Amino acid sequence: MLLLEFSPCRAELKTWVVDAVETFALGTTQGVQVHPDSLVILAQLDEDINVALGRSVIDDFDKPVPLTDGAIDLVRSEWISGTNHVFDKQFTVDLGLDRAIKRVRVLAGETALNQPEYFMRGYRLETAAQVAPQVWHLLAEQPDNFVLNVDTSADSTWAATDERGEAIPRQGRFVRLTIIRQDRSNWVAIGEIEVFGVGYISEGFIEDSFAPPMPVNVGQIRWQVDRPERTGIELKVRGVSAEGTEGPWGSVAAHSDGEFFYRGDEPVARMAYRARLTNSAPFVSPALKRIAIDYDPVLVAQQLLAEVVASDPLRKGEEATLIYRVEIAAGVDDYGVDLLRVQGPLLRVTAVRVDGRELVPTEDYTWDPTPDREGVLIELAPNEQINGVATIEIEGPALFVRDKTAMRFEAGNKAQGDRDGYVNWQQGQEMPGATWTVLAAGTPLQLLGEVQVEPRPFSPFADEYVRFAFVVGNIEAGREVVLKIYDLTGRSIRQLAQTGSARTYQFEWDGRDEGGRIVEPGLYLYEIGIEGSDKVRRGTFVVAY
Amino acid sequence: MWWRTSVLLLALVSPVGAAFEFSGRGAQSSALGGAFAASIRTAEAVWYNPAGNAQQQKWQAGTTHALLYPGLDQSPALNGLSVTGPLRGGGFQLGVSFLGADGWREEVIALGYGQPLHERFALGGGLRTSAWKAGDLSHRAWHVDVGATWEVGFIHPRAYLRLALVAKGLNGANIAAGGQAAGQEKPVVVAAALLNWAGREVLLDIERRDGRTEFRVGYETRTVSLNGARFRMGGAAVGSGFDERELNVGLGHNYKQWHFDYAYSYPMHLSGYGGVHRFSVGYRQH
Repeated sequence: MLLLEFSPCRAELKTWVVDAVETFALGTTQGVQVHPDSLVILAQLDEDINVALGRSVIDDFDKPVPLTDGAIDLVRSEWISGTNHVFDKQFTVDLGLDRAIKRVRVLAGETALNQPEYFMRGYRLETAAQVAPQVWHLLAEQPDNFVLNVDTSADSTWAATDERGEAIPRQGRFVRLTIIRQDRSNWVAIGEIEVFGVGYISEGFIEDSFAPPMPVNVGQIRWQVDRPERTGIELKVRGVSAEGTEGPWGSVAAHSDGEFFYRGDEPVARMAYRARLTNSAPFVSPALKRIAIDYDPVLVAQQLLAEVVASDPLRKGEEATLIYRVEIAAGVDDYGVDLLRVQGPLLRVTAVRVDGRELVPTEDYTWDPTPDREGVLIELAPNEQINGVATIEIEGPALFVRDKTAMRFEAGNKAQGDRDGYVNWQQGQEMPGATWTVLAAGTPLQLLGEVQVEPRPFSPFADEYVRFAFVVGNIEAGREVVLKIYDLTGRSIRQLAQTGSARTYQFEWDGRDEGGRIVEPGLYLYEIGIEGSDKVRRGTFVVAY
Repeated sequence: MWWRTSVLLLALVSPVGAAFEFSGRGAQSSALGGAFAASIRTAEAVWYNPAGNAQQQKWQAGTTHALLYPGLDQSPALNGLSVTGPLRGGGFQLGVSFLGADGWREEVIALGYGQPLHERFALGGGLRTSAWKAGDLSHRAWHVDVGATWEVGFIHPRAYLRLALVAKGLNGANIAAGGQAAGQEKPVVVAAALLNWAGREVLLDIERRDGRTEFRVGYETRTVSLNGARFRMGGAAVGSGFDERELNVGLGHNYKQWHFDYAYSYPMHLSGYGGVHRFSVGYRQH
């Protein structure tokens, strides 16, 4: 079931919402069970499933007693003793993980069937949890047993519920049998120990998709989850083009509520999500409570095709000029393009051309690094908005640190952003027969390159910022790169951080300490480090005014 | 009575600030954590207390070379010279210090004169000029300092106590070439004590600058077996929660009129910089 939200302030932006049990149930659920209280809960196994079968039983002589596949084989699984130490002999069943224990059966061995005096006369059953395997909790104790095959479902000492009728949590990984009485001899013959209970599976998936009436531009994705301890939940989404091409599953969120933007190729004709639920404990389950995916039937442009043209052979760690070419085809029903975003190590924008005509900086366009410093954002003046077919060329120096760098392209519309509260970027696509992936030759760069500090000396009044520029090579995305500034006596002045990947970094410090005061003239120390790495760059710089 | 005066001196500590304070420090004072405002009759006192040599009877001179943070590609170097001697019933002291690295040059010249006003009390005044140069910019500023020492005396048959109070940068000089308010120097007030216990010295300085309190302690002992070698250690703590700390150790040795000192300072939050090494050589008149 699709629930569409329409808001007066969002004339075009629509939202696909999944937030009801029935809606989830419509999707494909693998290994999960819909539950009215928590929407989704991991599967609960049938009470009659024997969770102990196939696992070995060890007696306290360290003698393995193999249990079979569930077909009781009395001969093979029988344990029989003729010693005078049969009292207090123990057998332990390992259930592999903590489980809910509903019932235990101890079957007599074949010998006991022929010679009844060999059956178990008194027993004690206990359980211990995985975290405290030495602490045993009583399940049942029967010092006066008269049945060949012990079944706790008929044992008055096994209490399934307390005096208020509530279930007693009997949970544990280990079940131990102790022989506490044997009347006529020191012989006892035990066949099989069976433990019944609630098992669980450790992984399950929920997935579903929806197809809007026409290809759309997907925007923000919001989701809400409930994640108890020892559980995990991860959401992936992917789009399917009008031609039926399925994009890769993009992991967009994990473990907690969040908001994300779709990063796959656009427009998409069908949108799919896949939630993976995991747990490592019984009785708990992560729950997927809500997914909301914004989409806009109005596109920024019908077509956004991009390629990279490098004018120089590219080498890692060396600046090279490249041209980023985008073919835009916007129709009358589209928003049109006045925002361009190139994801990649473009250091500056030195020229922007539309159909060969060079735009005037500041007057016709402005550019800035993206907030995450992973690309550049270009804003066209209103009179330069592209509402038809045009080829845009963006030129500037770039510095590559990896062997292969994909320079993705997105386009947006300011008016749409103002109306809906955020710019719904439309992802571009690689131009057929061309590429936006850049190959760079050369040896891998140092983890942390030389630091360029400009200007020298730095005046907070004349220069606004002192810039620390350097290249970080070969770190995982999401690592924190930190700049610390100290005065010469070692007093901490300021700390700045950026999160990113292997790329060119530029920190700008305004000459103010943590309290917002401009520091005195003098010689200062800087230290640049990467989270989780010992590699550090240290140096001095001068503040003078 | 001495403790009442001590409490009074500590109560006078107020929020203040300063610049160029790295200049001048020698190996002896650095090994004691910079807790040196109550030390007297030593040439290094010129950097800590204008009254420190008010009762100076002999001529003394010393030089210091310091290597700051050898872990850096361009380690700043500090060189200093200090002289003290008797003059007109009191004592004068002179210090010159140069520090430079990475296009920055700074120079401090300090001149002080102290006069004993009482057998237990001495008062001193100082004039410092600090200058820096970086690229096309340069500036020189003048600072006024005052200081006092009070010999409390023996508070125990084996314990001798001296207190000191110093106020630096009283005129609020500006060290910015353009005169911007951010370059306005804040006064510094230091309350200090020295306790000599059977030849071992414990020193404490409490300094307030620009709303920050810095505690410095030092300890010095002398061995007979090693021909009078001196072992020193010290520490400083500053910041909210005293999260910025410095440890100091040092050695000193006298040979006839000459004395040689070494100090190593390690700012604990600046690991990897290599600390600061200081070497001093001094001469004392017979």
